[in-house]
Amino acid sequence: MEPFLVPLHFSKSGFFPAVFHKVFGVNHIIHGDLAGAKTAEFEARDPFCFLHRGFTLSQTFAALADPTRRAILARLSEGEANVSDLAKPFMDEMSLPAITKHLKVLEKAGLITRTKEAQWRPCKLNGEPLKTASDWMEQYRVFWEESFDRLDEYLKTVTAKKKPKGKKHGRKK
Amino acid sequence: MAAKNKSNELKITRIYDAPVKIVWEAWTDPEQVAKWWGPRGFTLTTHSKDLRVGGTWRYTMHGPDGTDWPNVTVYHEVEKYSRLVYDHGGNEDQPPLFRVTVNFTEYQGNKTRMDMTMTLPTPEAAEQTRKFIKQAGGDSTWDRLAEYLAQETAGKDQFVINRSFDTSVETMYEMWTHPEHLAQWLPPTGFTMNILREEMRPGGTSFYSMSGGNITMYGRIKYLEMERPRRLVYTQQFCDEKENISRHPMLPVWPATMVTTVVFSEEDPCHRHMGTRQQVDSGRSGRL
Repeated sequence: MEPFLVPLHFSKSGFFPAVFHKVFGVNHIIHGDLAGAKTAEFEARDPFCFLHRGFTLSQTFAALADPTRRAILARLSEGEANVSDLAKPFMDEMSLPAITKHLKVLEKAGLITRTKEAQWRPCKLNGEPLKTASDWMEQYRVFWEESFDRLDEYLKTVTAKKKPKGKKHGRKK
Repeated sequence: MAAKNKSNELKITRIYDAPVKIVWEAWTDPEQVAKWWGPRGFTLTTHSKDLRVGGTWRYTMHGPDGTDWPNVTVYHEVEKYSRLVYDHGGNEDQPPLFRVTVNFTEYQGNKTRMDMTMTLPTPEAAEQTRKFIKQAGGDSTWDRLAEYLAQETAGKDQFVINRSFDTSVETMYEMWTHPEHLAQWLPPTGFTMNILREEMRPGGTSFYSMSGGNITMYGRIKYLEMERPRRLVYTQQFCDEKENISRHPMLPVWPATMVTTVVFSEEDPCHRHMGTRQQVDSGRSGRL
């Protein structure tokens, strides 16, 4: 099994810990499926191989890109809730079906689970709730990485205005 | 971060707010290393450590999902309180991934300057490793060391992040202190920032909102120190639209008050890379 390259945007993700658990959880399962010495060997050679082994990453990140969904996850980090609870803060702007749609995206990405029983179908966060200091720090790191990425981009436009160049310099990344 | 030239080396320089002896011990004592080595979220177990020329350090890094990453370090030079040269990532069946040279020197009396060079077989390998390290958040290990030292020496809860930008310190300072610039890059992804009251001067308190989707967050920034173009110190608090202090509306685990110190320094005169350093005191409020 060849490692596949995944467009990875750790620093673009937002809400990192949930992703982290999810992403690594998923990889772990694949790892088990692959079994075999080949994976283990690959890991030993390349300590970062988990970065190009995953496959549902883009789905997860797409799920997290939306502020409403992030807000839903934040609410669920405090405990289980059903759809109508989750919809309350958005009642003015969003219909219940719209919220349900968001929940489906989150569920598909594996970030939340929904109980099958009963019409209430309470939702809960899949993975460790974001309650510890280290989780907070990881959030904070992601926030700064994202902002610094933007600053990096923005600086190019600012310097371009200041002294117009004939051609743009090729950039890393 | 390292220069963009086609070099097979990656270089990192950091200043630590602790004497060389303390930094050296944090690096070499397995018990201390376990508290900061590796990207955020990783833990570490040392199996054996023989800190002398030709000696090895065998350890396992535990990923946040429970995956283990075995590692072997072979020491080539060990000069106590001064210098380490070692190969990283090799084992019986494979050559090392790269060689690391670290020099520790006294800086401004009570601080330590750490100069680290990772040498790879080829520029391509160096570029690949640089990308891996960025993706894995591997550079955060040097931030974690700063946090660990702050915790050990001053009992402070800190978050540290370093980043290099391809511009002058003067421009960086502008980016941080002019609202029209700040609003372009600071807000979280998906949010726009409006400065509702601008008081970007020492002692002044700016009031802003950040809106995204259905959420509007408000906050206050109070500037404590402004030393153009080297240093900024400010406190930040979330509040409601009437400036009553509140918790982060999306993430209640966020500390209520944070003190941020931003230091701009020239990283490499040849490439004029800048590093900004953030230090954040969580204030130990809320659930932290």
